[in-house]
Amino acid sequence: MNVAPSAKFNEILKNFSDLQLPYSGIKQEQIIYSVLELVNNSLRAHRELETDLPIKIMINTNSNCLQIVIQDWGGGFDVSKLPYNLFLNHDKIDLNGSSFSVYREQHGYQRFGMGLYLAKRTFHYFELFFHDAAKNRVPWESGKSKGTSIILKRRIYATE
Amino acid sequence: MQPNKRIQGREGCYAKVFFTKEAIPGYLRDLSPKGFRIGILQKVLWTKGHETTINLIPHEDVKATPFQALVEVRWIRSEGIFTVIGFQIIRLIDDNDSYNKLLHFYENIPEI
Repeated sequence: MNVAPSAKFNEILKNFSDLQLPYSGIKQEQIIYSVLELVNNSLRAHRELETDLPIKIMINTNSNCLQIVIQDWGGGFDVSKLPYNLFLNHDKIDLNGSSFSVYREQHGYQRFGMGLYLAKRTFHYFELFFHDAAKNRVPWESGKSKGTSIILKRRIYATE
Repeated sequence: MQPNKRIQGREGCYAKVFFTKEAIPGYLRDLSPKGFRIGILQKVLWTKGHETTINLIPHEDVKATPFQALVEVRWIRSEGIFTVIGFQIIRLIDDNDSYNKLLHFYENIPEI
């Protein structure tokens, strides 16, 4: 699925609502809204950079795993600006901590800083990296990294 | 408490919400003219009839200003990492037609 930066969010939501994902032990809604948070982050970055390149969302399943890859061209971001340490286990992150409230206030309550956290909680496997124009992995550096790739995996089950 | 199945006509939607008194962020999951469903990432001790105020922040594509709503809890259930709560709207505050814009923007989007 490709999402154009100019796409309206109701169209994006409609496309996601048409998906039928295999059962993975939780409601499909939780998976889709978790992905939508990340897509919204990408959409914002694309619009800020005024790039027309699409956000690519690849959904694959095999016999025991649902894999979702989100690849954008939004320039990446400085993970140290998040209100928590992205690399900590989720049980070490305090959602009620002052860093989250400061982050929300700084962004006029338009951002909660919880999209990546939510993805880490929702999926059994979470990997984030930045890439250059040739899609090679690179460390984040303003102007040099061209985008973000996120790989998400969740075990699936035969029946609901 | 169970969701009220009699309430029909809910649309899937996407918006952020913030419970102003409790400082709890949340996510709007569906809406109808009379109420909506919100997911939050923490447990609450609210019961049916509990009243609170939320700040509703539409996505920028809706082109609607954030507004507040006085709401009443109709039901609460636990869904994975979320606490999901059905609310009935008591009163919209400083709405400026934003709620109608939200309803219109997400018209005919099925619940996910």
